[in-house]
Amino acid sequence: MKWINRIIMAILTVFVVASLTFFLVRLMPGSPVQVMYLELIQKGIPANQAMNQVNIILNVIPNEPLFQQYIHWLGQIIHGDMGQSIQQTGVPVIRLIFNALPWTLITVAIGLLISFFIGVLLGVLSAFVRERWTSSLIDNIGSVAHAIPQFVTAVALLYIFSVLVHWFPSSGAYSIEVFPGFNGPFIMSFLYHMALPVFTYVLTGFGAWTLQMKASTVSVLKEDFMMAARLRGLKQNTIMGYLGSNSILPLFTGLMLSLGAMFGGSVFIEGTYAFPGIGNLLATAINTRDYPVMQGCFILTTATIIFANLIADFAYTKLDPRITD
Amino acid sequence: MENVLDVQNLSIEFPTETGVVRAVKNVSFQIKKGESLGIVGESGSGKSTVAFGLFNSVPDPGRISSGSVRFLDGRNFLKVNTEERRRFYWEHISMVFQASQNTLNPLLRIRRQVDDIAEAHQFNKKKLRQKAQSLFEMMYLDTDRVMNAYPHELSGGMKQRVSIGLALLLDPEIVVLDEPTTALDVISQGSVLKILNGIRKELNISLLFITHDISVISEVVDSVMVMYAGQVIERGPVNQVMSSPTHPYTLGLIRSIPPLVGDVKNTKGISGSAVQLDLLPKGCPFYSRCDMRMTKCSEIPPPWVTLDNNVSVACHLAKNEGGDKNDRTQEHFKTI
Repeated sequence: MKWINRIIMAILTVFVVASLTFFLVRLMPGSPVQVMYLELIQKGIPANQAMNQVNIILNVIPNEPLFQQYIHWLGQIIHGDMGQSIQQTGVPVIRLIFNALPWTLITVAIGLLISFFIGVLLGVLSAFVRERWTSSLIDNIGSVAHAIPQFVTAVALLYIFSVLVHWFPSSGAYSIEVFPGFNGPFIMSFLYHMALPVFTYVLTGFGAWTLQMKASTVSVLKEDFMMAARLRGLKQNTIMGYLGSNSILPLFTGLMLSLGAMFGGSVFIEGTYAFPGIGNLLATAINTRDYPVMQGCFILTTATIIFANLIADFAYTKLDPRITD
Repeated sequence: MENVLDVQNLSIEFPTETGVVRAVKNVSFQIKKGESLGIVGESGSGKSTVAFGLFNSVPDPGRISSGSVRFLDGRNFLKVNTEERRRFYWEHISMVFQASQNTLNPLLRIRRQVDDIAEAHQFNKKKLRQKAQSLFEMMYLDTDRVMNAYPHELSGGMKQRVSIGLALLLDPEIVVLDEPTTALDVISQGSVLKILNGIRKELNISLLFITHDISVISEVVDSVMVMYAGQVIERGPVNQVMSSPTHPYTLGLIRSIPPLVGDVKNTKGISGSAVQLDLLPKGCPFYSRCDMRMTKCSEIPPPWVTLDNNVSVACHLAKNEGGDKNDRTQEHFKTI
């Protein structure tokens, strides 16, 4: 019963955020009508003719009050229709999102899992050798990697591996010579193209996990039950199990939230590598004031984060006996 | 009777930034089968460090600098390799920890933790669970509930009794109890002590009872050892030490027990605070706080003197003024 309430609350939250973004995106200076109108004027078309043409192309009612636009949008969204792109006239937003989503999901998921794995390993290692120079080396590498912004790391990797040594391609998700589908050459080409984006996700992501895991492991190592486990003569791998399960638990929420956030991709990383994912779709939509696409992307990221949070809360009650629902 | 535990000249030191601090100095004692010994002293006197020394598991960065620890098998336990040590733990010596509430893994049910002990020491899981149940029953615990509970579902006193039960699980010859009742309220304290006394007699197990509260142990132990600044300063049968303490420090400890009835004005604390271990005088470590100090006390370490009543004491006063002090304690006890 409690979980049903939570789910209803989550849906309401998504709806409220979606409504707010509806107004927020329209508060931005500039509009798609203006973008297209100015383009036509520049081509030498007279002003009122240009306006008519814009209205026909975009299929909008000129100067419709914002509130009526909102009512209109509500009618659409209740039917699960996110509208159509303005710039790529007539293409449904859903289709744009579903075209972009797989690229983002696969790269971010791989990057996230690798960085989580590396972070946890380094964190445990650093906790074990604490008060030695190796530990502060690991901690500093973690902090620096975490502190460098994604676009700096992305540009640096692009410059080194793509411009200087030509090991990896600089853009795209696959080579134009392969045919997308479940076939060997395509998968190889995809893996080859996603190497740099994934590497960037890993480099910018593992630091935070390392620091969190170290802090968590150090505090569990000091727990009385660890000393007790040793003096009870428990086997080394049992003791490591005690340590691992207790220290990885606090990282679980973070991991679930990152998994939720992965549907949004990274605007910076996908932008730098011209990777056709959600981040890139959103960046293009913002630049051209493509309201429906922007909103579609925002609803997707909001919904996934809110539901990942919900799943994390639920899973916690199964993982940690001290937490009940 | 043979000694279950024989500790000789155990010294434990901690390297610090300002130099090496000797937390335990030349501590020797023996425990016979079924006997129980109490170690008494204030915080920082090295009691718990001795306990971890017995396990050869002194917390970092401490190290055992000299001495030997021998159990029934006669080997020096400090020289035994890690795997043998692991097997030795809990089968021969077990411990009830200072903060027993936190010594259970919070993520596992009690029965799983019993299973883990069984697996580590190659016991039959089913039999060991039955053993645990009978031990818990001895301690007035609702066994089915406890076995299926997570640690957080039990009260502090229950967890304490679970810890004691776990300590007895593999029939060790000796159980070390490090402040087993300190974190408990008076009522749980009383019941835990009663349980311990009962079990000790029933199972003929040796106990090493570590506490700062001298009033707690008098009914549970046969003999007592008083520690100050990492050294043993007095030891003997508990009733002798309690009724006629010889060392001024022991006297102070006993005088600081508040009486059960009547005025507390006769209760007296020991003046000053525990000495810093790196600033000890050449002579007696208690010199700076002693009411009865003499000039030679600061220079000459007091020799060990064994008195008629089987009490040994390291104090310059021990020979000539023992009787006098005796009377003073008698007075104190009258007022209690």
